[in-house]
Amino acid sequence: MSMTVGRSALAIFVVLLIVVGVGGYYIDPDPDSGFDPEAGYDDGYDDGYDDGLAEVPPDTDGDGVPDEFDACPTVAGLPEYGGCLKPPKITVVSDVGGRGDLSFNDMAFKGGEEAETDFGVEMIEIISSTEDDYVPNLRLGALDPDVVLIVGVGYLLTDAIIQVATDFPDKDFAVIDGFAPGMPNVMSILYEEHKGSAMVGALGALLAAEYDYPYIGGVFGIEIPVLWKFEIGYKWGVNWAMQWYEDTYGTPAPGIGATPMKERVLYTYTGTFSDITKGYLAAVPMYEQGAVAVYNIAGPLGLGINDAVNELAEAQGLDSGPPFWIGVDANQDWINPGFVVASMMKRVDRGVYLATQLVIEGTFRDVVEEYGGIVVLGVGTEVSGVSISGISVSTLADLDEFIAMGARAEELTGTTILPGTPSEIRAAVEAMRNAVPDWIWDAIDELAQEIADGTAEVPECSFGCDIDSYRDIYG
Amino acid sequence: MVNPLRKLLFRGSSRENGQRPTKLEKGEVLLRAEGIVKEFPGVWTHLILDHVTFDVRAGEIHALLGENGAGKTVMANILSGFYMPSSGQIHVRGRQVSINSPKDALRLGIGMAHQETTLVRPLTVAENIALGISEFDLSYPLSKVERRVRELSQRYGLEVDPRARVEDLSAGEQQRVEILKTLYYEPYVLILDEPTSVLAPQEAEQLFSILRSMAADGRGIVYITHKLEEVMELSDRVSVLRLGKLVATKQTSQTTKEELVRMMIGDVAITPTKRGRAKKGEVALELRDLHVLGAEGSPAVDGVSIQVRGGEILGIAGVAGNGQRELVEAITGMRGVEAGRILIFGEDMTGRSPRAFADQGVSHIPEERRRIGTAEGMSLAENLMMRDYRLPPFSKRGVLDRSLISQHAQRMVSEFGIMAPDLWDTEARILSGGNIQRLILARELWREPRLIIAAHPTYGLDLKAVQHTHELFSRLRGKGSAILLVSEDLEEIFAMSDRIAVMFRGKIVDVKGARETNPDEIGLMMAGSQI
Amino acid sequence: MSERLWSTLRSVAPPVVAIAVGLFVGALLMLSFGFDPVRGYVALFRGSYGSPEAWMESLAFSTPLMVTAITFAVGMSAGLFNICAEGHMYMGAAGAIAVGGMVSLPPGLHLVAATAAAMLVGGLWALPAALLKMWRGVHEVVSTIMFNWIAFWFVLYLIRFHITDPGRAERATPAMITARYPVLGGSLTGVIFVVIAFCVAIYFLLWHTGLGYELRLAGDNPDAARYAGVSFRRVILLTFLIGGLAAGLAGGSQILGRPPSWTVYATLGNLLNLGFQGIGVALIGRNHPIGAIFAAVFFGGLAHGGRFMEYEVGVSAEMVGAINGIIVIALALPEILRIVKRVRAVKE
Repeated sequence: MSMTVGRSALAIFVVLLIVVGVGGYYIDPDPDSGFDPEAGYDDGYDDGYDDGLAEVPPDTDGDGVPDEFDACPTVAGLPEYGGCLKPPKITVVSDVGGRGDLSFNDMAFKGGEEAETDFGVEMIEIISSTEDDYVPNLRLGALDPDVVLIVGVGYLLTDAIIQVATDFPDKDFAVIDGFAPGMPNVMSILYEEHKGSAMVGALGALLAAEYDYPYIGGVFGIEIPVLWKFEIGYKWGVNWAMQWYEDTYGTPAPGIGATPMKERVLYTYTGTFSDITKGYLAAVPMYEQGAVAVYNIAGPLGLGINDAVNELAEAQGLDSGPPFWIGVDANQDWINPGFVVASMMKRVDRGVYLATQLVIEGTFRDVVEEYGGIVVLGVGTEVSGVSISGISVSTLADLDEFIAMGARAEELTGTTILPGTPSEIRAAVEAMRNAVPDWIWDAIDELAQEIADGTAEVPECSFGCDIDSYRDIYG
Repeated sequence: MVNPLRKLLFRGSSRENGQRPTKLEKGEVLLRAEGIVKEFPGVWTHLILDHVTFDVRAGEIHALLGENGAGKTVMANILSGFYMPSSGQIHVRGRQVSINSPKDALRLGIGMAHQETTLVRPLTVAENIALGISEFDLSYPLSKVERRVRELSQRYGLEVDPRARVEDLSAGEQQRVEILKTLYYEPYVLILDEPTSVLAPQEAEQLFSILRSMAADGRGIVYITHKLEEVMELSDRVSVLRLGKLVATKQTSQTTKEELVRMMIGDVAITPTKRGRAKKGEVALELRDLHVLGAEGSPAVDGVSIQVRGGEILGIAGVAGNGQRELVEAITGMRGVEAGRILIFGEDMTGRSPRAFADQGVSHIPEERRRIGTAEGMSLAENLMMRDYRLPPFSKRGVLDRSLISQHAQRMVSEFGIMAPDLWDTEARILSGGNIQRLILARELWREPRLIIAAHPTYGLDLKAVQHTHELFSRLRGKGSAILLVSEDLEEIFAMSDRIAVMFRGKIVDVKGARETNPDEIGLMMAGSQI
Repeated sequence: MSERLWSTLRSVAPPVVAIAVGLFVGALLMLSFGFDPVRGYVALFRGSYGSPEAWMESLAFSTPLMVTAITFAVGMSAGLFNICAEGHMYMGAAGAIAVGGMVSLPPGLHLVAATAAAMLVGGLWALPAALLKMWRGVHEVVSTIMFNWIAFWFVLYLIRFHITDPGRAERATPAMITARYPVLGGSLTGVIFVVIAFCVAIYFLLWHTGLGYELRLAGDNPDAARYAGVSFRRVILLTFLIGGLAAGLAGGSQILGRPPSWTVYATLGNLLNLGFQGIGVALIGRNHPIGAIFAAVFFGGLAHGGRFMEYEVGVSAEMVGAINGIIVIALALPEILRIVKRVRAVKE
């Protein structure tokens, strides 16, 4: 390459950068955008004058609030007389899973939409395409004066939230599943997955008793402390169910009841959260040995479990379980109607909704202070005296919301996601639920009640826990 | 089914059915080119073809003879529609035509078989031939092509299996396919450009008999070559081109090899350069029974043994393509040696790298100036550094001293008269051929090397530059440099050399003292005649 | 003087036209979907360069691209189509974690050692492809594509089993505090100075040393290089080595110089495609080491500014990608054409 070309290219880029850079400072064709990181805060007042340069608006009663805003409600977390301005915004920043994951991110956006309806906020979805986008995407909301809450969806965003929240101490942040204690403006929203796991563990064990199967199963991802929570909770739930059966009916449970206590749960850590085939390979032997249901604790590997179930269903000509599998995080019952007996639901939407509610009510920082930054949502939990559940076993009522979410994802991705029409899915799931005897569902409700009122205490084994001591007890 | 497009392309039902064209009257002028001028503005300042008039008659083989660069191939490309002439007229069977594309040429009955085959190697013979047709009709049945190919092969003894894959064929067979491809269109005139350059001798013989039978069939054949033997053996008439001009057209039977040589290389005026007797130094270059293979694996240099001493210029005369290029490449390390030894100042350099040769004090003025002599994307100053970039004072511990390089380049520009807009900013690409050569001369000669291998050092230079170069060579010789000068220009050979070696078919025919011989004798030796 | 002016104008014209064409076509695209292109571009460029904070984020995005572009640019200078940056970068990142996250060293030394490790591992990873090319003539495109995949799976394996962050499945061990470049603001750290210095050093190597001369000569005309006594093996080795060091540094910069994670994610998500984007950067920068710096700043600006287009004007992420792509292609086109022309010339 000749020197000339190189030099001219350099010249071009210098010029280009200067033009766009300088241009960026001075050109603002949209004074109404309410967004100018340099000039700072735009009152958003659609009056055609620039902030700071404006003639003073009439204020006859001298209360510092212009006449036209005198009637405005004061809204916490918003600038003065903000109630009359554009609706306050919240931003929900996804992790790299993005829109259409039918799980975490979609549920968070659903929570945001509910908050839009109930609190009149405007939710802006921000999709992260790589991990490097977390910080700048969080900053987008932080820079916008209209934004009152920034939510990071998923523990992957924890570090980024801490960084941006430190840079913007006046903004409020919430991180789902993250752990960022001790910051005045960050609410970490955690979930009691062990309790949900206990409930589906009990459900699986009672199904095994009903249908005379010797085992239930669990397919796990990579073995990290977070997953121990699920494992021990699940096993505890089996134990609780056996105890409950014996207490209730006076005899040991059939099927699984005959299996020695430490062998009732077949489980595998597959070492992956992405390789669907591994989920299939792990699930097949479980069903072969006689597992009535397999719990999916490895995200997309559930599809592999589903394949294993489908194979059995086809071979035996079944159109409904047993065998079953059990969904996780979202309501996954619709994926294969009739074969997903229930899902351990983690209500990310409730978390987003709660954080928004607290900001709008002006109590966000108080609650953060009260709980040291960590808010735990679980079965029958309360936050500052308000009862809010974050964990539940899926019900027929939840199903419709998720079918709608699936339909929306189909629109977004242009691929077929739902296995049938919404009414078909609903009918199949309903038929399956009705086929499962009522006493089982009643037992699960009973367990939920016991957990909520504290009679039943599900052990929580996570970071820093001696997993072996629990495995000595539960297998 | 008759494709209407094909009908349009080949008027007349006889040709559509693949039958012979109208019987041609022997001696009828099929193709006549009149006053053809071709220039490549911006590339060459001189005319590539300078008012050339030329015709082909039915039933004859007309040889177009000339050295490399005489304009033969350009002429063929004009006749076959690849180039447009800058001026001049072309008549086909008495009618003036304009040929704008190879398709036009084919339509008019002019076919050309190229020097390098244009066949698609993984396809079969019939498929290759069908490609030419199937542009118009993909449903054209292959069996029809195969039948026709067999018929044509039989008629002219062009033995080729239409179902063979081209990549499995020998060079001679590929050549036949190339000819068949052309014959498919039943041309009146068939042009062949150096067809034997890739053929073994027996294959060449076969080709000749094929060509004779086609001529006997009434077609006209234009046979382009620089090989005298072929002209004498094959052609009915011969036209000689030199530097774009038609020297003469002769009946082959009424001329001799010697006359043809003289026409090809021109009249040689001997102007002995005044020069003092240089002190003969030690043996700078010694070749012992050197054998070098050419591009096709055929022996190109076939047992050459020569010596060049310091203070001496040895001229290598010969018609291009007799192994000079391979010889030069071998003794500069650019080409491997099959057998024999290369000694430079007593050191055995056989099989060493170009760098080793350079380090031994060998300068190389290459024949292909742009292809290997310059880096066209780099600047003048950088091109001048090709030999010196790793030597002090220009390089200090691997770091280039750019200001010193600038100074040096400035000096070279003024000493060698290189015309260039600037030293660092312009790509060498835009330099004219003459300036490129000045650049190379400057680079190769400024250090006054002990041994200079110069291939066609003044080709394309203007008179003043030629003189300057000759003076420079004389001066270096006077200072004790040994010079091996390869040139097709006998004038130059005689003007510069102390001794003259003639190369023919890879061998040194003889080495004569420049004063003991004359251009006629050398010319005959160049033509391969033993004296 | 007018002569010079003309020639300057002539060489300046293609990129100017390219920018204009790129912006124009992007604008058409926005218009056809009902967005205001002026607002779109203002959001884009203000988001990327409109404030010191914006600059810092944009520069953070451009830092690894500067050096992955070097890999390709140096390859092109030597006539090699070296697309190995992706794999070298993964390996470099693994090297940075191995030293920066697994070994304790005194402050200062630790940073130097971790950076050196990233570059070294990247450089070593270049050897197989270089040797294959040198001794067996294996085309670099074929071998580097394969080595990219080997690196991808190998680093995934390392993250899973050897440089694992216990308790965090989604990422590898982060670099220790002592092995982190000081944060200049936002996501930008001091590693950018190392990266720029590297680019300048490569510029010096290419244009001011004999080695660089050999390399460019071999790239411009291999026959002339042979004639000048250049050893191709040396050129190939040098080219791949520089490419490896550069891409290794890119990988290292994402680990040692990119908050808040200071590590690689188990998806390699914060590395993925930076090597391939480097090709585009190099093409925009006309395969010049200094050009690469500026082109990377531009590229990083688009990468960062795009989100503002999305946030403020509501252009969808996919559309932002398309608009950025059009601008990039238009800018790279002059260089692509030049390369095509040269390849064709060489063939003739």
